[in-house]
Amino acid sequence: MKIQLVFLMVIFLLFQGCQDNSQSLDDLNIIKQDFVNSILKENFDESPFHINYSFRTIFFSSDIVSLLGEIHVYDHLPHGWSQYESKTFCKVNGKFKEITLNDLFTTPDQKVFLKIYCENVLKKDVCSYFSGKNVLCSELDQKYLQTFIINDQFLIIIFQPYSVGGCSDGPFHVKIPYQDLKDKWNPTNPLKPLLNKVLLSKEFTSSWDEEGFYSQLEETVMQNQ
Amino acid sequence: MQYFDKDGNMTIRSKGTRTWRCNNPGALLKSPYSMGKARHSIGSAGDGQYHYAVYPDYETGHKALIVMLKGSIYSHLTLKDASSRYVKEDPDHIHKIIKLTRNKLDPNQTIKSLTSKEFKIYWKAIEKNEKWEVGREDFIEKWYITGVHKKRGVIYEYYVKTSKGNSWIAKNNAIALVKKDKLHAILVHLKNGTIYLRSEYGIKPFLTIS
Repeated sequence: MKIQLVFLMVIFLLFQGCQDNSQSLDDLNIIKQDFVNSILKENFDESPFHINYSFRTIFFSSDIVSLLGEIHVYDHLPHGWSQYESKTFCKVNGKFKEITLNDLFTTPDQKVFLKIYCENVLKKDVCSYFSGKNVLCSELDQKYLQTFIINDQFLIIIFQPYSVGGCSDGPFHVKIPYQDLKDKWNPTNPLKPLLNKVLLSKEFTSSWDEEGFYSQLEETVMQNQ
Repeated sequence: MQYFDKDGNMTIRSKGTRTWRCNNPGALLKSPYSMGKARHSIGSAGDGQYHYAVYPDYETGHKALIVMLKGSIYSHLTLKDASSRYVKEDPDHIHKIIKLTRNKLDPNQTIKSLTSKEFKIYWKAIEKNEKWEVGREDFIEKWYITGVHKKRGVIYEYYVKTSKGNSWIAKNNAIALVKKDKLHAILVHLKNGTIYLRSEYGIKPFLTIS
């Protein structure tokens, strides 16, 4: 009995250690209810309160879909809380399958490459904990490498608030051009062959920079007229 | 971020962290508390519904954070509970704060039980974790017109006072400076298309020197 309990504890601790620091955004109704319960205890001095949730495609095609979700909950001072979520789907054997960073970077060497790449970019950003006069971090914790999206040029790693920098300058992100990933990520990952196919077909929308996407679209329409 | 002093001179803050650009080290969003008369806020800045309070200097922004931490909500909380309220999305916040205090504080202490020395260590850790990084500051001085030159009753030159000295500026150049918001004057557009300059409201009319 005791052995079983110890075994369960070990599994629990291992699971805890692997978890992202973010909470699940799968049930927005729970978040909505928490928000209402929270503001019922607050006073007008800290209001007006709000929840904003958006979920949009960053890359959309018939074979690859990448989405970014953002939630901002302001229920008390100083700034409430925010979180980002991402989902990337690839068509494998005619069916969409969600992929994770573990599918793209499988070996320890590949994971180290990703970690060091992100660290080097963050060290150049004075707003991050890795840079500036007050350096608060020297090494990136692997647990912060969870959220990612893709577009036509980059694999984009998104960092949760307070993981690599304060809340007011985010979202902190690292854009990795596909050419930098050559030989560095899992060569048999499901995204790689599909991406080449989709980019060649030119039948996709890539809207990480929404304003840029629409102005480019308008320009193309004008040129074709 | 643009700041204006009482003489209309502009200071532009760019780069650096938003906490520095807004003089808001606690990253307080705008609210009746953070924007209230007692907090001396001078505006707000941000995206969408996420607007942060802007303060005239670090000291005023810092005081807004201190008053909040010493107020009726935070002061009764333990440092651990205060962290959950301050940064709900990061369960590691309390560990980061304690690490930043070099383990000098106990997470189970309440804020109100801290000595003034301990409280200083605590708010310094919070401000560090919010990140305060100085960026670029550009000062753009606003100039004044003190006199004019006229030819047959029509102004053709303005005498402009700056901190580096005074000089005569042709009418077209003076109009361009007003359009760029660098010279104190009001642009008057007549129906016939003529543009001329008038002194600002409450200021004496320009003195005719010749």
